[in-house]
Amino acid sequence: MIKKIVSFFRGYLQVKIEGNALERFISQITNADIYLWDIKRIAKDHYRAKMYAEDFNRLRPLVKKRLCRVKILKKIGWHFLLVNMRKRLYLVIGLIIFISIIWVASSFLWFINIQGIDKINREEIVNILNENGVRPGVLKKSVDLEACERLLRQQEPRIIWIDLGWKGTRLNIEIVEKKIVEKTESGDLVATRDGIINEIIVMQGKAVVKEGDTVTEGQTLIVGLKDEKGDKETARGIIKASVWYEETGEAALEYKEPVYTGKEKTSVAIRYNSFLVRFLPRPSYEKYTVDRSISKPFKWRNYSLPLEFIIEDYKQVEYLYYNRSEETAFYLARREAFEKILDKMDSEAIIIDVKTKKLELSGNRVGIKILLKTEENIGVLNNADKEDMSG
Amino acid sequence: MTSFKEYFSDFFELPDEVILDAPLIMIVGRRKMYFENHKGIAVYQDDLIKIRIKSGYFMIKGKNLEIEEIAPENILVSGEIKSLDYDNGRGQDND
Repeated sequence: MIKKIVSFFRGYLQVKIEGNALERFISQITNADIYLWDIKRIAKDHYRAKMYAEDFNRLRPLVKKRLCRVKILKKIGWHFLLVNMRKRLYLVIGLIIFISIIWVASSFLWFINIQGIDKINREEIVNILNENGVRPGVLKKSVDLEACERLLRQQEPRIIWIDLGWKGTRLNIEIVEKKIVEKTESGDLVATRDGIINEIIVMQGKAVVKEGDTVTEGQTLIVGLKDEKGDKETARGIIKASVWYEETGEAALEYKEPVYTGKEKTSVAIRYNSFLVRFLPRPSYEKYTVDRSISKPFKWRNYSLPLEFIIEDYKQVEYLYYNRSEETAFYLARREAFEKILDKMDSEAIIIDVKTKKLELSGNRVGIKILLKTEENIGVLNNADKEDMSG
Repeated sequence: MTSFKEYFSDFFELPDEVILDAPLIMIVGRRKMYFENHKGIAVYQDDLIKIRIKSGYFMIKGKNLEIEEIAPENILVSGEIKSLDYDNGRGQDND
């Protein structure tokens, strides 16, 4: 194999040798330091052999001396391929034209792709670029990316960060917009939860409830006051209140767990649309787990044949019943109840008190009720959306 | 009669193929044979290849014999080799 590659690069000839006493002739060729290989005897006076192209001219004086003839049958090697190409001139010309068209076309800017814009219009960005000579059809070289970045940032104040980059003939513009948080025109603080107020700290506005009051969800706690211009100010403050959460949890004393019996079987099927052929039948297990893998063998990009190979591994399962101690069951029930509460609770709430109560349940089950007392800030702006709350 | 060269190479334990120009043959299975120090081909047929050596001929008999490579120093023969034989040719060589 390697020898073939090497000889392809050196270029070799398949030759036909004709004449008398060819054995002697071959010995003479060899003595002249010419390398021959794949010598095939077709007839007594007809051999075929391979030799390097560069040796062929050295053969001439030898041939002249004798009544032998050497004829080239085939030229093999990369330089002969090039020579052959001359015969297919138009193909080569076409190839060169094709490559040059692609090369030329790829040096222009054809597309502008803008990412990350939300409030800014695409047209506005494109217009700014167009006014400064960056439009589809200009040479890529004539576009100064850094200057464009600077320009866009100057002319469009809503841009906080911008990055321009080439992806082939496409100009990729990545933009991060400034988030302009509009001032809430008016705002009262309202309660997010029911609770008893422990402490009110007013920073702006006026409290309408006092410490010790019981408030319900949605009730106004601090109202914004009007300033000199008559605009209503946003109320600000912290309202700490005791909030109670109540949840129940349950757990069974008896539970089942699946156990593999060790019996398993594989089922193979082929599906074409809704037509399904099963090669290995399904096992007749009453309870089982199945591990199904579906592969589509003929797939290319988004296209695929509706042919599917389905391999299903069935494993027989038996359920074993266990008993757990009452203690464990209560622990599980308690955990369930706690999880329910934690889902609802504010992350900054401080847990002050936990009260648990065992419930009487029928049918081998235990239940628990949890009463949780927390202290948390329940004040929130009434007209604020979620985004402003976090920010 | 042993020539001086033979005596010399034996005495100094030198390789014969270098001093005496004797053929060095390597056979791989029965499909390939590597032959060094030849003096040209005498006969090339499907069932017989006769290689000239310093003292006569070396004969390879077999089936579908083919010379895969031939260079001034070595020959590579392939095919189904059946027997190998030496032939003194035209009597004693005078070297």
